[in-house]
Amino acid sequence: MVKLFDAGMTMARINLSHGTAKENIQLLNKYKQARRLRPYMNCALMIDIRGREIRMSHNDEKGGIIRVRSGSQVSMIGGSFKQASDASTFRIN
Amino acid sequence: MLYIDDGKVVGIVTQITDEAIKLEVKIGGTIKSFSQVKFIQSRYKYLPIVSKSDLDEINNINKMCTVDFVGLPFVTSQDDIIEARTVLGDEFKGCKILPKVDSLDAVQRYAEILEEADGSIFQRNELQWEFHAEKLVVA
Repeated sequence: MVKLFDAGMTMARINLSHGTAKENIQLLNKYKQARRLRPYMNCALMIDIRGREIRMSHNDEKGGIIRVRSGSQVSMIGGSFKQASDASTFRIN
Repeated sequence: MLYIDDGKVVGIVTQITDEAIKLEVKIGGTIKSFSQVKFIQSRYKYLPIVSKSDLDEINNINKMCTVDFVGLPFVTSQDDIIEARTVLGDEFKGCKILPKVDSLDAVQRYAEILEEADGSIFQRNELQWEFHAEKLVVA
């Protein structure tokens, strides 16, 4: 992050759609640390909220990837974003 | 028809119940965590512009570090931005709101949205699902 500041970054954008709240906070801590190390530099912070975006939850499969075959039947359940998705059930927010 | 993870998996809705929708996968593929589910030409105005989880998360972030800009996806009208400002409250008074233009409604009401907003972001990767390539340039 400090290298990005040195290279002339003027705005850092964090998208809340990707990653969990914990991961985003870790990223933000890095940003804060870099700001502390380069107090004379200006860098704005932009947060992209999830809003109306419809996204699937995380998955616990190997490599973090679900493989779906053509022709298979899948059910999609809303409002269970904190639970993991798998090949037969997609959980969305 | 819906597209998951930018069209890597394409499905057709076969049944809708109270708890879930059933899909038949037409094109199989791989899906990563937090992949986007895209319903083509959907009307987003019935969903909340800032959800409760978003609000909690952004408030936490604002306590740690001042947020200068907020990106709002799937804005459909001027009212959405006014609503977002009300929901975010006084803590985000100095914060600029940048609506993302990524749906059909947003393109049609672009002038109206721009009057209320502090800027805008064109998300062409989202608009590709709504327009043909030649119209995307015009949009």
